[in-house]
Amino acid sequence: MQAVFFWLFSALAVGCALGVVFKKNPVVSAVFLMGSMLALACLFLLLDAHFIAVIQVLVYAGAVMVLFSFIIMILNLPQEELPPLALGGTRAWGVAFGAVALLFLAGKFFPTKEGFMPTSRGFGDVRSIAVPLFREYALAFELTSLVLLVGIVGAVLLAKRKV
Amino acid sequence: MWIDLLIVTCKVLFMFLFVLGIAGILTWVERKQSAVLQDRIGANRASIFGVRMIGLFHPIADALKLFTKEDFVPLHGHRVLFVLSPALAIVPALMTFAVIPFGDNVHVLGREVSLRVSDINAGVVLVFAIASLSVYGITLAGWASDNRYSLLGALRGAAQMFSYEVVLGLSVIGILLVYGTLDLNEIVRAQGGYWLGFIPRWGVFVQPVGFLLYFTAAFAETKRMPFDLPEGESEIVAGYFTEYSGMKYAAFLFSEFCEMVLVAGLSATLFFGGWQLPVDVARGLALPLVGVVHISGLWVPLLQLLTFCLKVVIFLWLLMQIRWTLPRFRYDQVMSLCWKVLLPLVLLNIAVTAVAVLAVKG
Amino acid sequence: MDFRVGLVAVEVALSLLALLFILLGAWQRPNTSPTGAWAVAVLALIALGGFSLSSSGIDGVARSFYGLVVSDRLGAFLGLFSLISGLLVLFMSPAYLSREGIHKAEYYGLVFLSLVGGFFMFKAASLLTLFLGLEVLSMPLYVLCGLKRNFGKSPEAGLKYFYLGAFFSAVMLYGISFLYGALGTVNLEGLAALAISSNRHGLMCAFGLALLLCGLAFKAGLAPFHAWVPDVYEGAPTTITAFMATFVKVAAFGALIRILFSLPPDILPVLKPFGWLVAVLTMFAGNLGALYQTNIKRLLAFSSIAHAGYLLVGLLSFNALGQQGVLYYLLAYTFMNVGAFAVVIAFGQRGEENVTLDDLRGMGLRHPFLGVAMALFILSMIGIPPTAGFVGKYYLFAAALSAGMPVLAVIGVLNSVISLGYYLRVLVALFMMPEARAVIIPPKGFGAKVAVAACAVLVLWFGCFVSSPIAAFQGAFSQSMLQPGTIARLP
Repeated sequence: MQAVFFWLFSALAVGCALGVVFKKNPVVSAVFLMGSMLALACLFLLLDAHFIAVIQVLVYAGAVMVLFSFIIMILNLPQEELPPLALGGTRAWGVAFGAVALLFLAGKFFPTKEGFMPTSRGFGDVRSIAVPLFREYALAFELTSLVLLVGIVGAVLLAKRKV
Repeated sequence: MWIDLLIVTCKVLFMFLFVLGIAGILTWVERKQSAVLQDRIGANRASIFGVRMIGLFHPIADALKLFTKEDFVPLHGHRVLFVLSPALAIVPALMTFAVIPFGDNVHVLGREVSLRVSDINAGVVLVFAIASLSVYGITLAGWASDNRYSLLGALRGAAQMFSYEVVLGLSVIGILLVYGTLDLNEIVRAQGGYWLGFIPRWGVFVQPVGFLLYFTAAFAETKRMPFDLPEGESEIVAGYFTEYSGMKYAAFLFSEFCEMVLVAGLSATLFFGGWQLPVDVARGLALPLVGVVHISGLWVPLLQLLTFCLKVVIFLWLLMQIRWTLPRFRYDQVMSLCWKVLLPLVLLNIAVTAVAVLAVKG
Repeated sequence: MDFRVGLVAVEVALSLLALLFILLGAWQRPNTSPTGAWAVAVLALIALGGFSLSSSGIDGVARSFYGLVVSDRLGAFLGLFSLISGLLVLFMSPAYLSREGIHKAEYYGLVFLSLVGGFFMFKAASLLTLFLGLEVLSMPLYVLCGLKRNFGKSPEAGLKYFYLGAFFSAVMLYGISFLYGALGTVNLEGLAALAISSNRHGLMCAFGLALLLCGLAFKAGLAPFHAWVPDVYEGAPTTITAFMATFVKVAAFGALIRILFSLPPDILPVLKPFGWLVAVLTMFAGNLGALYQTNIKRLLAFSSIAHAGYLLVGLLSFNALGQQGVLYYLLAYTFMNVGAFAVVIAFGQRGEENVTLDDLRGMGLRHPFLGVAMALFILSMIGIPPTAGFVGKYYLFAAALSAGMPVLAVIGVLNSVISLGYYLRVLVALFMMPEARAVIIPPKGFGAKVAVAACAVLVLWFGCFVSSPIAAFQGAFSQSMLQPGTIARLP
């Protein structure tokens, strides 16, 4: 049962990711990216990592991608005139590098004789994320907040007509 | 295994019927209540063999009409997304009910069954996560329609919804701080009992500001009257669903009503004790003349369900009342209300609550 | 293990002040100058600098925030350098910013936040802190670079820096993820377990380390990742150019020191040839590029690339002389570079006028104070005694010699000779050419002159009185986490 769902959502995630790359319309690409995010969230759910799954939906599908599509619509981007898919130059390099990286990762992470490592108890629930986040990594959390603050202030400072 | 599956199916079915049923009735309530407010009679013409039932057949007539209308798809729009977006609008609105509890856990067929579809331990966040997806329905509908008014409506809707989502999410942080859990059933359980013997331990009494902010933001999320800028029929025809007709149009309409039910349900759950009965089940209800009435067995979850539904209905009434009372805001007013008034208030609410919780719990 | 916030008091104070300035900016009326914010910023930096100086004598190593941050003498010294750089920049800021019409309280907030990021970079005990510090350092700089929105090159500089910076942050993060995958930790102590040849994760380690160092090399402006430097330095507001040229170098080299000295000794022979190549490339790229520049900001940008190359020479020698030399040169470099940019600001006019070599013709004789000071800074950059630059370069090249890298030392000296080619052009323009302009606009900006005077005095001071700072810098390394064996003794 779990395995069926795993393969289903994995296929969905990968398929949507391919759609992001191969679709020429930016809005459609954005929708595919959202689909990929949702499929990933479902994979997290299969790991019993409820909180991570929900945050994945909330942050990526619900916030980041909405902003993406919003910006795409405001700019009213035209359908991009991509050259026909041909292997050559940089694209060949990209494909080669991607293939090598894929093989490398596949070698590292595919189930071996020992199988997958089981997730620890309480993996991905609220407490197991919150406690390290606000204790061991409190500094990292605060620094990230500073980065975001600068992003907001900077955007206003640079984009507002009359500061 | 089969019994589990059966139970889950029952819960899902009940939830669907509950939400869609109420949403269906709301189409009638909307007309009737507005009529009462405006001193008219309202819809009362639909009749079956002369029986009018104060216009209760109108939803059926509407459905028949919508089913038989031409299903129009704009020529230059994006066909797939145009068809997909009504579904994207209504699915999140229905999905969020998965974590809202209708009653306490019950023992059925030798197992403990929780009266909600899914026992996800991050329930509150899930609600907001799924609800945040509903904005796609609007934006994609507006974009795929290939219509300036639709696109304007979509942009308005997207901007308004993700602005108010911020306030919406932050407004319940206070409740989460007070009860220390993300599980909606736990939150409801913590709201049982009384202060001083007569004030129910509802969240609204510990988080009054939080509730007002939540209610305002949630109202804006439903895109109904003072906040119906994405639709704005006096300015941009019908906004994001200008090009929609037939059942696709109905899907948008229904998603709006479903969201109303959701807002009402969440208000009841988070701030008004959810399914908590107004009596102590263990001690029973002391009625004058009759004596002590003990509630037991299946009566408990049934009464809890009834209590919850009653609270939902009361909130729906309130939502309707507000919708037919206030005129539409200007767009800049909507935005400055969110970012300049509600957001500072909600942050202040969190800070004050956090300090208070720290002081009380130590 | 605990938070121990007291150990990062300076960073906390800087962050809170930054928030205050940003809030002040929200209520600032148009066309007014936030003089109050400026005064608070200057006083705060002086106070924090004093505090850092007094705490730079600490012995041993203390850690805070559950081991994410380390407080030792090296961190204290680099922090002091950063604060000095920030303070000098603040002195020349108000006049310049008012002239360009961008005097906003947020400017000070962003400068302070950038400082905070730098502090966490060279006080990092974990790659996590290092990376986040880098981001906190960079983000305000992206904004500050593009602050002069009406001057075409400024938004270009901001955008260029942002895109490339974001790209290299991603590269660095990718590298860190590889290291984490191979080592199972992001703590710097964990890097000691890193082994490229014997470990079965050797490839991942090598890949991760290479990407991590690439990211830092970008920030430090080392070749072949230096191409952004001239464009960004030219387009950015000159005060920010001075800030980037000095403080960001301090932070990036601080982080490089932290990483390089955490590596196990058997990796260094593998790493050194690459470092050697990068140092040589950087020196040549900077000095040869500068030969063709007519804009003085671009010229100084190329010269700063060359200086990064000299610093790398000292770093690569991995001995006490090199360590002292790097710190000494960073300090000397701060003074001479901020001073030179302050002179550029004093001569400059609204809208980045008056910054080419032609504009400077004869100005040295008309404004002898600024002219002489500029000459002093230039001499220090060349490395002529009795200036701080000479002492620094002497230590760097001596370190290379004693570490058995005579070729590198010779290339370094050769590059110093090449650099004469453009440094002397500045001096010739200042003193030996007739004035080009009919209308001479008198240089404005009292603050810039204060900064120039302070830098000039300090360049001379550190050129003459060498022994006590050298002794202090020696202690900086011996009393820090970097010393072999210290890691094992940590609580």
